[in-house]
Amino acid sequence: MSVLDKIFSLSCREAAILASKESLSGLSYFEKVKMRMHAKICPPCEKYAQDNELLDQAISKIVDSKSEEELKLTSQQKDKIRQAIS
Amino acid sequence: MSVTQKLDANAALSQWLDTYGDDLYSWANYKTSSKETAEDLVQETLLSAFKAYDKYKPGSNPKTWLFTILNNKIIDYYRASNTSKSVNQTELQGKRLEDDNFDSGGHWNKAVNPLWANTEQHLLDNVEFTEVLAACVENLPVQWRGVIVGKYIDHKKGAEISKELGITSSNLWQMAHRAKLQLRSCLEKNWKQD
Repeated sequence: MSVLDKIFSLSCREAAILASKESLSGLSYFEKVKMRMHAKICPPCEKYAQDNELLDQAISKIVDSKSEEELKLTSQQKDKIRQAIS
Repeated sequence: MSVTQKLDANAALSQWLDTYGDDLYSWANYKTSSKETAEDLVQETLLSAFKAYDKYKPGSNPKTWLFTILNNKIIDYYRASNTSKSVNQTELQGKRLEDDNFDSGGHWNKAVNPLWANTEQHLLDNVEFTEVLAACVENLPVQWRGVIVGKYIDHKKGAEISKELGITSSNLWQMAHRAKLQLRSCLEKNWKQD
């Protein structure tokens, strides 16, 4: 492996962590280049990163719907709470 | 508190539970993504309000007061997830997930099963999928759940989330990564694609 290859190489595990970092904090230019190079030689990781984005969108949707969800405490739940404060 | 004060407090709290209980419950569920946790937090909120009833200023808005208490409980809830016992358990679960998915050289252990073959966008409108995913999120360890949903609650940045959870940035990314592995495994087990 050449020195250059070593500098730019990522393991699949590192690529998976960077995929999560990307959605939380963004990536540096260097990290982006490394990800792109890795994706080219590693279809599973490319797929994983795409899945990751879709998973993020799905979670975002769930959180959004929760912000509008109006839950109701059942009378049993309320009784339990009343007992705790009496 | 005298007996009369106690009875007063009890009557007030019982009434507030009827009036504001559902709002508190919904808010706690939004903030924690766990109905079970939300119920506990509502109970703790009313219990604290009961104990501190003499600090409530008559005439002020009880809802505001209760929500202040609840929001502090939510902060405590995430902080408590940072105690060594719960961190160790979560760390163990995380290591197991890493070992399941990667070999010692960091390569995938098994083929990465695409979670969704060709359905992609369409999947986001699939109610059944959303329900299974929501249940999987609810079952994540507290810290991982905080990391995963934190980004979408009030659109927080990574740095804010790590500050709130009291963890470093690299810890944050690792937790997000492990949470994703856990969600994938949970979906693989519980969601059957047609």
